[in-house]
Amino acid sequence: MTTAQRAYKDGAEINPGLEQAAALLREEAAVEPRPVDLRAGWDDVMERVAVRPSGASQVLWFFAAMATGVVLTLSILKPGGRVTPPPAPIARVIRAPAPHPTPAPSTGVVAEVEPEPPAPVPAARPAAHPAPVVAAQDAVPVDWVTSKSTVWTRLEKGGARLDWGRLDFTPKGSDVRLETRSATVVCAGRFAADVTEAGTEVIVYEGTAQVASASGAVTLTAGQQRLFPLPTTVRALEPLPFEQGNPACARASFDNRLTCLAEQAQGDGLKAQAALYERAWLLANAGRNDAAAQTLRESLERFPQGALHPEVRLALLRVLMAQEQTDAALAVARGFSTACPDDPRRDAVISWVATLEWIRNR
Amino acid sequence: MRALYAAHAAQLRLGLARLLGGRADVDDVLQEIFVIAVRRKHELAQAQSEVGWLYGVGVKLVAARRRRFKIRRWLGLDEAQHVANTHSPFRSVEQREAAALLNRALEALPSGQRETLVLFELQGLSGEEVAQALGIAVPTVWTRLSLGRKALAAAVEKLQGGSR
Repeated sequence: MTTAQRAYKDGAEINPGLEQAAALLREEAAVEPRPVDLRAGWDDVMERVAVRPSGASQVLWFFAAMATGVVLTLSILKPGGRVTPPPAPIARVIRAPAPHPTPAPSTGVVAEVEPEPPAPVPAARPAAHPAPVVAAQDAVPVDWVTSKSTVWTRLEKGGARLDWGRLDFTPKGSDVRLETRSATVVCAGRFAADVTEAGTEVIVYEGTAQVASASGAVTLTAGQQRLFPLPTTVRALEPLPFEQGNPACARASFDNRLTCLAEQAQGDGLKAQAALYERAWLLANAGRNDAAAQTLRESLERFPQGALHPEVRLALLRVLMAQEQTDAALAVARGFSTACPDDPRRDAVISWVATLEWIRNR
Repeated sequence: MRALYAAHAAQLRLGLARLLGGRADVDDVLQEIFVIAVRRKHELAQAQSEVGWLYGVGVKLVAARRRRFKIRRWLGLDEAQHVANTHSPFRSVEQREAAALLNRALEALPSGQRETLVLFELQGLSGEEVAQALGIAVPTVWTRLSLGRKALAAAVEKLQGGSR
């Protein structure tokens, strides 16, 4: 039955009256489609997947429309009556200075947060080393919304680790656990976290959130938001904006990005040097200064006079200073002043040499 | 999923343009199909034919768009311009005119016949895939094809008679 049919356009014994329609179909069917920009098209698809319309918001709109209808009906039925809406809840806010020199993307207005006794959050301090994670997900769970540049991984034990960008959560009754480099959040209500170079900004829309950071544990309630900056000892290097990273690895999760950069660093050219350099930046920003220093040393061994060697030397110097390895930092600083005699930063490095010598002899 | 997009996006886009009658929002519908595919990947994995499933979603979305066009026209609002360019640029004027004639003739058909003709005759789907896409039985596909062919011939004849 299913194979007996033949395409109309291929029919040999068709009625002559139908010939022209068949010819039109035959000609149209032979047309090749115009090529599609697959990369941009797929990116657009994923972007639309990320910004899914919330079912809850549709329900809220429905009830808002219903309430408006009821109010209008009542006002028509009772011309003399007044409908007084209940007062809207007002969050008490204060204008606070930015907690970190690097400008955060927030408005600078934060809710006042009362410090509380330690809440029952398991991790009192965020782990410097990434927790074991499942591979990065290509589809975001129904109740999560990500921004375009979000880099995240799902934790094996549930929840997520957010390395960069914003994640919005609308948990359905159970707690969601979120880990970042500077905070651990546990919340059963609607909340968002935004990781930038300044740290982690937590915004609570509904319910309460328990947040543990290097400065202790706090409870944020609905309407409050707070920035949890990176511990200063972690940041040996200024953060590298993700947008300036290697585009081949830019959209991967943190661990996959490191692996991708290690692969990119296999060659001999500038690409390999840049990959090593970016890898070291990432490691240092994650608090893994040992691994960062090792990567930078590898770069200097392989490319002692490479295009990036002054930058690599300076980065290594900062990492070693952050680790308080004074002797090693002193050697690198002296090496910089010898290897880069024309570098405009040489004077500053020489002054660091003096400081380091003072620290060592103290 | 990305491989599925790479394999079928261009052909699907052309099919959507034919179903939409060349209206402008072909790319939007194409994206929407794959957004739905990503969200319902388990459903897609269980489908008999991935292509049939994708076209099935496309047909439903196109039907919704067509209803919207009808309402807009009924309300006296401007209809979207026919600006979608989904064909290869290497087409002669005659080919373009023939395509426009076929497009107008297909527009004159009932939606079921038009969808069946487009999927089977132009997009090259099998009877089973067309049945899956339209949510109908395979014998119904053949019935619609038969009726659609006759209706298409009559529409072409009428359009040509009108233009002479």
